[in-house]
Amino acid sequence: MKKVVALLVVVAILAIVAGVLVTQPLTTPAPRPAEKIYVGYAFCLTGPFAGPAEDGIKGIRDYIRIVNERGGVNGREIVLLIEDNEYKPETTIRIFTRWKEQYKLSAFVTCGTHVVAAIYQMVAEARIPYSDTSMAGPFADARKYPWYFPAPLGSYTDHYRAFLKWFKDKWAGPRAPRLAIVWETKAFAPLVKPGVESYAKDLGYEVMVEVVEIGSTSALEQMQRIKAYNADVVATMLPPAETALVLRTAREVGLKAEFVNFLYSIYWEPLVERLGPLAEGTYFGAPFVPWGYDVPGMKDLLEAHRRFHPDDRHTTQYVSGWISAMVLVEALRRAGDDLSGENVRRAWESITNFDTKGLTPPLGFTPMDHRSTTTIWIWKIEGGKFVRVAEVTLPRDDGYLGK
Amino acid sequence: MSAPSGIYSKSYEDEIAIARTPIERLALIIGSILLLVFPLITPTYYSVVAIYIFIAIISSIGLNILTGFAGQVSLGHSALMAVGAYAAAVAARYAGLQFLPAIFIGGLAAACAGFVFGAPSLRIKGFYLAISTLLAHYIIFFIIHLPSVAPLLGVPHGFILPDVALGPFTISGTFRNLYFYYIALGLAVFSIITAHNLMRSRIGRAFVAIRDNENAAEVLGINVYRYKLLAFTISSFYAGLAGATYVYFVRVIIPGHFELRVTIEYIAIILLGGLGRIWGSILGSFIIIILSEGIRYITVTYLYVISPEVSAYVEAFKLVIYGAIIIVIILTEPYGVVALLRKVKQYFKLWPFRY
Amino acid sequence: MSGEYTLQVIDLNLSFGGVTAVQNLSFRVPSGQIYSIIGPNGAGKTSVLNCINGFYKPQRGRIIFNGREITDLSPHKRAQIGIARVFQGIEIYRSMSVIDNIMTGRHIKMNANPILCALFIGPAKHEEVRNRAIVEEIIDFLNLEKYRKFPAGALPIGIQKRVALGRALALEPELLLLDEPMSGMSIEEKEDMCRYIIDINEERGITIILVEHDMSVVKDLSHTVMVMDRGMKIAEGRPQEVFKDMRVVRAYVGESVA
Repeated sequence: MKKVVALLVVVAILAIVAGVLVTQPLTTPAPRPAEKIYVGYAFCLTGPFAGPAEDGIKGIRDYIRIVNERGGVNGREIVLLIEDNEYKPETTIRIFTRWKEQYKLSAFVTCGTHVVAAIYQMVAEARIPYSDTSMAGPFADARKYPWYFPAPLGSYTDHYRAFLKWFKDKWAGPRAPRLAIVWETKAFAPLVKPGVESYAKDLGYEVMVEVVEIGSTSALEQMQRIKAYNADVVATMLPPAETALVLRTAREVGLKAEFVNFLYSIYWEPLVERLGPLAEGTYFGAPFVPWGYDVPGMKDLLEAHRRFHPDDRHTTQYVSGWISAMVLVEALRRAGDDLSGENVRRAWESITNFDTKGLTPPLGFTPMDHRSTTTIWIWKIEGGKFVRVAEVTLPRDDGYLGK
Repeated sequence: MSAPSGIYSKSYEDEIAIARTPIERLALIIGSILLLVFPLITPTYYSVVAIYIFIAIISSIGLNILTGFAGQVSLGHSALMAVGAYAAAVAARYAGLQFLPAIFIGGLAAACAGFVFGAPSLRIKGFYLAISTLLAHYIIFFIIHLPSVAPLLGVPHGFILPDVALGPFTISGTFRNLYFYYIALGLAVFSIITAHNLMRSRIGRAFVAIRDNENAAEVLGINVYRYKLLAFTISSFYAGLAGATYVYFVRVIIPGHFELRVTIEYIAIILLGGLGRIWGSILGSFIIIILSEGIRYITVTYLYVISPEVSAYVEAFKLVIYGAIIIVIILTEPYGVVALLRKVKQYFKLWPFRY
Repeated sequence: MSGEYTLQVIDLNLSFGGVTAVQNLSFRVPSGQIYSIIGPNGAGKTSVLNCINGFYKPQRGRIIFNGREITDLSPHKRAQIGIARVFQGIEIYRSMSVIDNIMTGRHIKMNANPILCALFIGPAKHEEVRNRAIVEEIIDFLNLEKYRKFPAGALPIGIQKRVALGRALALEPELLLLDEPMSGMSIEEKEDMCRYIIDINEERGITIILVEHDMSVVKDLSHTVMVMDRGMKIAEGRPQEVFKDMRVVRAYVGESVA
């Protein structure tokens, strides 16, 4: 009988847990004071991108905190709702349905392209502006996805395109420049490679393609083929470990070419540290600055860092979180007193020439085009530091919208 | 074990009926009504959680048939769900099939894959079979990721499924979750009833015979190998059905939905609920989903207020809590919650006379 | 029916690696008889049964059941054509109820396909009810009524053996192989079991091959007794004659007595 009693206790505990769950929101419905603005972040605090996301969410939280300290947006406090979506669509669906019922959300932000694919429709039906940290392009087309605002950080494809354009413009060789694309087929690269490849061909590059899968331990054959091809530019679209492998192998086989690498989930500093001397002289393209880069806008970030968590080490991820929060707050400011999803979206689309004090080029949105900017900075790694070598403005052509 | 006193069966049909006593019939009616009105009287969030529970029930019934009834350990369950999901998605996208035929195709495709998965069970058992099914898991994911196949399946970034359509009705918009609740409920009930029927018929008895004693099953004229394959096939049908329904609900299909972790979760469900019992799958799915949802809810609602930084770490810690609860239950009651409930029922049958 | 002999075993040889289990064994089981195989431990009795129902493939020799060669048939096929077996150990399905145990024995008499079973309609349901009636008859015959719904694993050993017997009977076999059905039983349980065996043989007309250590049981039940030692047949005949045979005594008690 003792055993049965012990088991009953377990059941009782379970029942209490279940009971708390079922009754909690019903008995104490969340207060909805009119003076607060609710913004939901279903973020990947666990899962493969937990590290970058954690730093990113710090940037967001710090910026919102400062805005609230200075009296909020139009006198309203912003309430940040943050939950872990585990980098999974199904969890995001649960979180979103719950928030939607509990709060009057003015904006919803997630991380992960596949999450956007899964829940865009649901958020759009709820008529709430929706953003995501992903820089993958597919949802940037505002005509198809009017409620979605991609992260104001340019698309991965644009990052590469800017470099290719810049390189082509200064190319003086007697023949057409040769590009070798090194990609993997399982993670992010499939979203990027087709757009980059077709753009390079349009620009007049000769293109070859090599695959280095995630988890590969050798890239020797690929690098030898690229060397034999006499490539002038190698565009790698790989995670850090594989990027390191490719760079090391390229050095071993004596491949002389310019490398443009993937800002894998914009985790610059650790990536460059990891690559060490291998990263020297390689390029990145991005419309934002790394942590600590000397621009006027960085002062606020350093101040927040000093005040809130002086011991933490920050990365570009923090800067990108900060920038996306700036854009969100600007949209909320422009929305005024009408915080309905429709109005916030309209306000968001009315942002033009938004000055981030050097953190990014001026940002702007239109109802037809949710790309924040097509101006990209080219970064070169010299002495372990990021040096801005050029600014490239790509035409806002429809051909590459959503690619 | 036996019916309460005063209940007599006048025919064998009566005796094998699902609900035999007036109380059981009443419970069935009240339960049905509750399930039907549930989404109408609660916030949508609860319907969404219920949908996940229904899907978990379908899938865990599949695993329970294979592992609980037929005694064949498989680590390929989530891969079979993936086969069902991708087959349904392909049928919907490229052949323009509607929801019901598409998920049915998903189930059939998974059943075919399961048939192949089960082939090694002729020669190997237990741990070795588990490893061979694990291998099958990786083979399926290898195929999904093949450069020639991946683009067709939208791997890795997702393949968006069309809206759920039933005949001329398309289920989308504000009431999507509500309608989908009824669809998932219907599919779960369908799975429960068919599985229950299978398990009380000659096929179910053959499965249990194989699990309990293969030699004895053989001398009763049961073709052991054939029935093992049948167990794999039937189990995979449910897995495929669940996988297809799941991706229709979340609208996008990515390989990440069906990682090995998912198989482990389903093993936990049937261990916790009770092996070799359809009820075990139902209770296990209910408990595990509520538990995982509850732990997150409690951390974010209560802990986040105190310290946002800490709550992020507790998020990761919830897997530990989750595991600890499973261990406690399995240690105290190896036959799962179902056996536990039966003991409680027996206790009250005798109450207040203790034995 | 092929007349006189239900089973013929011709020149059976079985060895495992270097160990010979059965050697040049031939015997015939007349239809309708209780045919006992006795012998000391390790004489190869159970091996012979395993050859008859197909668990072992003999290296040489033929097994003919009702005039049909079954040497290469798999065990479940042999069950389907009418050979049932009760194991020496208790190999019933412990988690199943007594009814389900015996219903499992009806497996080969039922043939609803999985889809019908899943829907539990038409033939599947009729079949279930029809066979249930037959199972109830067997339960009645073996006096198992009060254990019907108990999980078989929880029952006393004597009852478990009866369940195993019932399960074999559910196959409606022509030949029943009983491997030490009395082991571990009390005197009363043995008496019950003897009565069931005789009834099965006489009322149902089932030919029985009995392997048993209890000589009084063998003497009382058998029509014919075969004695084995070290894989070979050393004697065969009516019980009274066989037990007088000195070779048999020697095989059992050892050389020194002789």
